[in-house]
Amino acid sequence: MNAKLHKLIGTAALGLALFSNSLPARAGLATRNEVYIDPSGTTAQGSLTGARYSADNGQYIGCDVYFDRRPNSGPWASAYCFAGDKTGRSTYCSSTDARFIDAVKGMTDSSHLYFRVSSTFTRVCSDLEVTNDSAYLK
Amino acid sequence: MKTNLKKALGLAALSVTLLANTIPTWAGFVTTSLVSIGGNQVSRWASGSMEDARYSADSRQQIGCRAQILSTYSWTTCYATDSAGRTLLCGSGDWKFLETLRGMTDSSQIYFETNSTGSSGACTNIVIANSSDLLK
Amino acid sequence: MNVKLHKLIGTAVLGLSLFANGLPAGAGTVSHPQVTVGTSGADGSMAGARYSADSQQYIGCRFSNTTGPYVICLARDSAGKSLSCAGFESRHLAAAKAITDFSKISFGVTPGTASCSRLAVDNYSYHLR
Repeated sequence: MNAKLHKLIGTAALGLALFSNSLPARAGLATRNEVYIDPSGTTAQGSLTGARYSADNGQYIGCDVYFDRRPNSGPWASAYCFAGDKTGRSTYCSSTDARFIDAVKGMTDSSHLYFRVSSTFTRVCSDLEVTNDSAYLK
Repeated sequence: MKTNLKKALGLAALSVTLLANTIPTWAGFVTTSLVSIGGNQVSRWASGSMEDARYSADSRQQIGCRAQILSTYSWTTCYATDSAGRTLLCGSGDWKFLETLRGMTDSSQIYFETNSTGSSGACTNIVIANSSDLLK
Repeated sequence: MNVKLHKLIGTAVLGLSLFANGLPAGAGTVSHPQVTVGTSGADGSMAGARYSADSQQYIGCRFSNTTGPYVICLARDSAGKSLSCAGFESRHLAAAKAITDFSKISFGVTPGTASCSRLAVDNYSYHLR
């Protein structure tokens, strides 16, 4: 029975190798930028894929866009970017500037983000970079 | 038992070496668009799909664009490196290019032109294509 | 040798069923319409075209904003019949920019012209692969 079990495991592995498409198969230039937040918490950077496929389960980075139409004050829109690194440091910023909102709308599943917080008091974004690059794809 | 274990390990090792690359598992019309860079006496251009650059056999090809928003200005940058290591970069503060970048997906094909014959210049055109034949 | 080969294939299939995670594992509603092309319109999903059994179908759009909004949408069905349209309005560009890897795209052509009379982009969960 042991011999058969060993054969079974070995050929199951063969079956896995022959049919599974979960093995990493991509060559090509690849960059996995994990999330980095500077000690003052005023800048954050990293790619979505670098955070999502990191070895730890603490990192995150992303941006949200909010739209609202308030009864007495008309439409309102805001972008909100946030990040947490593997040391537990986190930061965020927000902006109602249409240019920042537009930049967030250009994000994809693999974007690299960089954002700067103008003031730790107001937490308004003063700089946002969204980079879509083949090297950041999973 | 040792013999059988060896057989099992041998088979497993064989299977790993057999599977250096993913076997394509579906049909469908596919277009390959590796990164290419060209030009003439007055301008240069680059094109390529994000997925084909990422999937390429070499570790040089790269193509992408960046939207940079600062307090006082905005900036678009697109750049490409082909398999031979040739590079092209374009930049522009014109908001119209930021509009185009918003339509990018992970499988987009990017085309951009510069007004220079060197490896960098001002962006004069950026085109994004999203099509089923570019999907992996 | 035939018996051993049969055993090998049999256990490879067992391995496939035990370990492969390439098989679709998501439940939930799924819809991947393939490309259809008429005389004045076309529609189809990106996934339906890309993962079809034939090597003909495609659907997609390219766009730029260099000299103003500029969108070209193209489609070809499994029989090789193709259709395209061009749009130059900001609403065409806005719709084209909403395309993702799994969108369903639908466009119409104004009769007698190559102009897009309509362009719709659907991003629904059931279009995901």
